[in-house]
Amino acid sequence: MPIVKYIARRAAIAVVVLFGISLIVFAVLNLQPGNPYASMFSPQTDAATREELLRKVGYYDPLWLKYVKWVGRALQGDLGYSIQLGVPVTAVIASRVGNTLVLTVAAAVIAFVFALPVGIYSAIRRGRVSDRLITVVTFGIMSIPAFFLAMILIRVFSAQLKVLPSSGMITPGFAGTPEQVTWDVIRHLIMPATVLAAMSFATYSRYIRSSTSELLDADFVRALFAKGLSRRSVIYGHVLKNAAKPIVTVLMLAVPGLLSGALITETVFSWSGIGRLGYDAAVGRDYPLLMGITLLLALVTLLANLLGDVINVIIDPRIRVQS
Amino acid sequence: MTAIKDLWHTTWRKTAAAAIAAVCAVSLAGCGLNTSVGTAATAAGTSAQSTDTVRYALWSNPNGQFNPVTYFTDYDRAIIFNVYSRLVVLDAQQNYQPSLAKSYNWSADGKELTFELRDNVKWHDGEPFTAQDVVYTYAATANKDFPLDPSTLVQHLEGYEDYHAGKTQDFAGITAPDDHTVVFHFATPYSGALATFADKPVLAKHVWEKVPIAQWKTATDLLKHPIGTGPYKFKEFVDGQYVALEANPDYFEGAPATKNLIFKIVSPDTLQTAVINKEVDIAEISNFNSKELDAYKQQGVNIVEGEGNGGQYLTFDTKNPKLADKRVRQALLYAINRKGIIDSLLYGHGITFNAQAHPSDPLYPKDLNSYDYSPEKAKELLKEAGWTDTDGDGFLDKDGQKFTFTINFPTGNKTRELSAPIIQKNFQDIGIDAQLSQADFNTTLAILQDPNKQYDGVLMGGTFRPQQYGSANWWSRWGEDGESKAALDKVNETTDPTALAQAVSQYLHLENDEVPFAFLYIPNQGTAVRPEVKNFERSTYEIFSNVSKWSVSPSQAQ
Repeated sequence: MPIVKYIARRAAIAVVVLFGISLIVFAVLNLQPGNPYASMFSPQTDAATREELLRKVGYYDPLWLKYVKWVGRALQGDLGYSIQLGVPVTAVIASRVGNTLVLTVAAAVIAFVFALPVGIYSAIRRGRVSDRLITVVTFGIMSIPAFFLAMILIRVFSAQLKVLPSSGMITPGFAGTPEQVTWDVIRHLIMPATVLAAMSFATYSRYIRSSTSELLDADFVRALFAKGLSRRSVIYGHVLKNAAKPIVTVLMLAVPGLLSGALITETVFSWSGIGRLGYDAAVGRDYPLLMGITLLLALVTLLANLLGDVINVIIDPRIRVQS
Repeated sequence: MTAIKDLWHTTWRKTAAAAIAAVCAVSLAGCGLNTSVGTAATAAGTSAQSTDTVRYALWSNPNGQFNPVTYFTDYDRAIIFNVYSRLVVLDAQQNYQPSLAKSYNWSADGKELTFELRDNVKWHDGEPFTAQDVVYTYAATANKDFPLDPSTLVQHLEGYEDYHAGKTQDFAGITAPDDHTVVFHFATPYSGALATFADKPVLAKHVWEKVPIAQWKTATDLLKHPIGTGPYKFKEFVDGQYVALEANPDYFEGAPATKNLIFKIVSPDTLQTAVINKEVDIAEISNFNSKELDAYKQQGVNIVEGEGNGGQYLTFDTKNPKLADKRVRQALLYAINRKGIIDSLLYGHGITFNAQAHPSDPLYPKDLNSYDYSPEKAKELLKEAGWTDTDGDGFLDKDGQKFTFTINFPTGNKTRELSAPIIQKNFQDIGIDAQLSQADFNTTLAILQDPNKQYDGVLMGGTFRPQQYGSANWWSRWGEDGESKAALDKVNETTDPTALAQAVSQYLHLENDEVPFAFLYIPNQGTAVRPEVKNFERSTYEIFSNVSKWSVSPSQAQ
């Protein structure tokens, strides 16, 4: 089973890379000027008390010792306590990651669903006026800043039409049947998911367009047409199947972006997810929490890459695994 | 061509159907969402206002540290001040009124402060409130394991050193002769004591004694389920979304008029829309731009404006040789167009101050030097101090040294960030080579916290606390010794009202003359209040003192 060996080898490399990332991030964080506890002292705290409290939390340990301590605990699944929140890092992340997933998966699905037909359509019509028009429009969408788009949506749908809630994930204190609650969440989800989707829609549709249009020129496609197959079966049965490979790669590469790229959207819409948490942790110098989030993102990135490669092997058995 | 058109249509239809199904599936998986949904409250429409709920906007997520002696953020404070109650509170005239205490009494020598407690108060879990709770709360902050620095109050109490060092089991400074009397014994009198009691609510001994004091900051379960004696009981905290409180029918000053009080987290960016769209009823506004105010008014939203309780300042390193001469510091204060900053950045909605005390403080002297903007006076003072432009390069110099001044300031507060270049220009106008240096908040704090680091000036903000004087409440390197320390000690030791007023006046005059900070401005506080809300009132220091009377009128609610 060469594929199993392949996966095992890639996984081993991923573990090494993960260690490297943790070391670099840890060093970069801890070498910043200032200390994560600075904002906890009032101006009245005298230098001696400050030192005593900092010693208690191990602030004066040398960097290498801090790292060794951290790795030792991390290997047992303990990422320490968030300095600001006083809660275990793993618990904070676990409570937030689901929210980000709901938002980003909804956004990715919306983006992909619009991008697929648009991409294929412009590939078929490539070079024509409609294709160029789509190109202009997609680049237009791509260049609107997320923040700006969010504010426009809020202005139109919340302030003027008053049909959607301006922020949050759920109406405070709202109670009802599961269907009503789901509907309440969907109403809150529409605007943030749309903003996020607009950002990736352009990328997806361009990739789909280019990977499809390359294939339309390919000799085997001409041969299929020459054999007298209908356009539909050529495109569905053969072109899309072959275009799937680069598309899967692009989707997998976009996964880490989905997790971390939601920062602005999450902040504007008060959506309590990982992006916002990471931002707050960075601003508040919450090193343990920041380490936890960075590691999660690194892990997800590595896994997504691995998964993308594996899926490609499965889709296209011609990719021979070299050992 | 038709084939392609056909293909286009089928592709679109099929994918669209699949997409809708997928989106729905994802959303239904919303069970994965971390929003445990409350039980009671409105089952009606989503944004419809109901008369049994007042919703107050918080700009940012509380940390969930709902412990009155360990919290950090104003957002946690908002929750704490509704769930817990205090021995005394401040009225609108900034006098102390008994609250959890029935009365308080200073001994003649100012060394004993006795509180007579209410005897019919119950904690939200039904346990009776007693003197032991009070003793426990304040003694804990003096314990050697307490995770933060001990308050100034406890450091003034008898037996503090021994108790803090762990030499004694009991804290001699706080005693409870019976269940409804607590006595604080001061080693040296401390006139700021009542201010501490008005600022630090009492927590429940029977709840918190189960957790070692060293672990108070990480006792998540207790922190997130506070049990107090206040007008509202804690119901739930949905991280990043809202905190729901419920009226306490047994509140000792009468049950609140409104059943539910919800604190909804709304970013300042969408605050205005949230108020207009009836998603929140009360929100602090972030600026006084007239366009913004008009938008509220057009929708019938009232703006309640009052004096703020936070001051902005430029702290000087008084140990820096260049700034050691008080005339130089006075000159710098004269050089700053503070009125101009208030007019341009706060649209006129703010006031200046001239010593480290709130101008509305009853003891704030009326005759302080007001340092009205005067570049001429600034130049004159600098000349007296020996700073002149001898080499004609446009900058002042002394002993061959050019007068440089670096204004350090942290990111975060928009008005403060915008004030930095104005101050820079003001300094340049009197011949100082002023530079800006911006960094994140923590890095800026590191400058102030390192006693070996010399700086010129750092822009910072601080909160006023009623009757808490002393430059050490804000970042400064002045007042630790000599005349200023003696004057402050006098303030702290004096409990007789007339003598205290005199001591305070003396100290603030000294500070006003010494200029350890350039006192800049106090932005007003504006609150947007929906027309349905009745009886919203606030004073400089108390936002929620009237909370149990807030109500929503049914006539205008939908």
